[in-house]
Amino acid sequence: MKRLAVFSFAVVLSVAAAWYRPGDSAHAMGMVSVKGGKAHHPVHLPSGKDRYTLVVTGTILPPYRGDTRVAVEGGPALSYDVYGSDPVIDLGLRRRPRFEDHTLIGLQPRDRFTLWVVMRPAEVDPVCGMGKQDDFIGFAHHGRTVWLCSQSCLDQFSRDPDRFHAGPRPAGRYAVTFHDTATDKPVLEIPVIFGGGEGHHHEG
Amino acid sequence: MKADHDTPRATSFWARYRTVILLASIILFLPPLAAVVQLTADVNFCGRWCPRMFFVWREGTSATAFLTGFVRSYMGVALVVGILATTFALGRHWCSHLCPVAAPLELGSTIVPSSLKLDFSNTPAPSFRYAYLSVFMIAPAIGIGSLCCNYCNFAAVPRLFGAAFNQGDLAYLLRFQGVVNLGLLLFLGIFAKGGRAYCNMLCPIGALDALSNRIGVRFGRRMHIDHSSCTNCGECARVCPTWAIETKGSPTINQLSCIPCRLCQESCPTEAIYYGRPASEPGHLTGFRNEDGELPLSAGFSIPKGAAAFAAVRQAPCGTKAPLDGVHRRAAAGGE
Repeated sequence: MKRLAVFSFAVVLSVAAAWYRPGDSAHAMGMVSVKGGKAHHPVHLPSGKDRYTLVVTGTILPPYRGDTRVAVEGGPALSYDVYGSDPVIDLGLRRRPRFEDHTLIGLQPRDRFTLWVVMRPAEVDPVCGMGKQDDFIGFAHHGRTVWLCSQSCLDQFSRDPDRFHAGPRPAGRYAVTFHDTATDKPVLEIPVIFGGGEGHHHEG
Repeated sequence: MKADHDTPRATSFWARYRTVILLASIILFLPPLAAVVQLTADVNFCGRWCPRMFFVWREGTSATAFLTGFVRSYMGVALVVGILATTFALGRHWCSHLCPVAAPLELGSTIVPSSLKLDFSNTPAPSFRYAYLSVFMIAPAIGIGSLCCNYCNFAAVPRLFGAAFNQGDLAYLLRFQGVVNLGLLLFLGIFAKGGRAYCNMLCPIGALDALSNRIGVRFGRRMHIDHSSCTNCGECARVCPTWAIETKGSPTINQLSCIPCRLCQESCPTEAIYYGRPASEPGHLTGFRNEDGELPLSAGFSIPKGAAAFAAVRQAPCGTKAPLDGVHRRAAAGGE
């Protein structure tokens, strides 16, 4: 009886874990090619998160060779970083493309790459709408840090924080784009669609 | 006589060097060196080395795409096939000695004070494990979600090591599922008694490996209890990291949970636990070892207890090193 109870409990727990989608991350896949490439599927992410993590895996289709610049395009503006997955200590046992300065270097046919794209909504002063700068004043509100440009904006915000919205949220269609650095032609574009619904969660 | 199991604990290589082997596995498979996975131009167990995803069928996946997954993860396929085959013959040495994903959890747990550790030994691990494996396989097939790769020890542990060096690995952890994975590794690993609760309940490779271990128990080598020597003191059950030993009534080792870590063998005051072929049946004197650590009576051949003891006593005065020497030594020491 105890075994049956534990089995049932574990099934319920596992189904809930498999079903739940937090929406702050997703997996995007695509193939880089001279004809513009092909995304396996668009990525859907909900609006309203403070941070999104996209793991992007790709394969290089022949005959493409070259270096490829990676960017996130779309508006309103997102702040984003792209990280590679190069070995910490590269033993040089096998050739592999490197990732430096948002650029995949030395791509060859049948290479594979993995990138991590971390995106955040642009941070603005919710009172005056100015984009965050280094001298902004931080104000803790509902577990988040709200950035304000001056004491005047801080005073207004602190008197009635609920009057002000946090700033523009990503909404609509964005894309993770890959451009060949030599020709500036697109070799892959993966659509990332923000808003409503839940994130597409194909993991692989 | 051909040795049918390991030498006694004083000379057992697998017992003596297990920690060293686990540490070597960490160094060879995990960042910052990750030398083994670099042989295929990889940096971790994802992609070519993924051992968990290729056998999961997702709703809408064509047969061609499913088979392509085997090709894409060819090193993972080779790893799993190798693990299951060696387990069938020799027991779960991948899990006990070689797994770089389990090694940090178990070794990490040894430095956590006992008072802070959680004891999961009241949980029937196989029930939990196969419930999890069932959902792992069925949920993606019917399209209700996926446990793979969302909750993956083979992804989380390498990135836990890599996070100190690589912002990509850090990005893996700094998200909801990264935090959950990290929590599971801590809760069921480092802060679990024995450090093996994650392995025992949530690892799909471990679950498949346990099936191979159980199915092959009649043919291969496993940890066994020599019931003639066992005093049922319970020490083996106390040290077992996978709570595989049941001591109520006649002690038994559950081959669905046992990994041949030898901790029970090392702790047994009467040396009643051995690694080898299933030689003994209750009431028979098979499984005794001579001075060379050999089983005097091989698998499939046993003689009644009284006859064996009689033979041992008969041979003792001659001072010979007969196969049943061990029986005499136990008798002289007050044992059977």
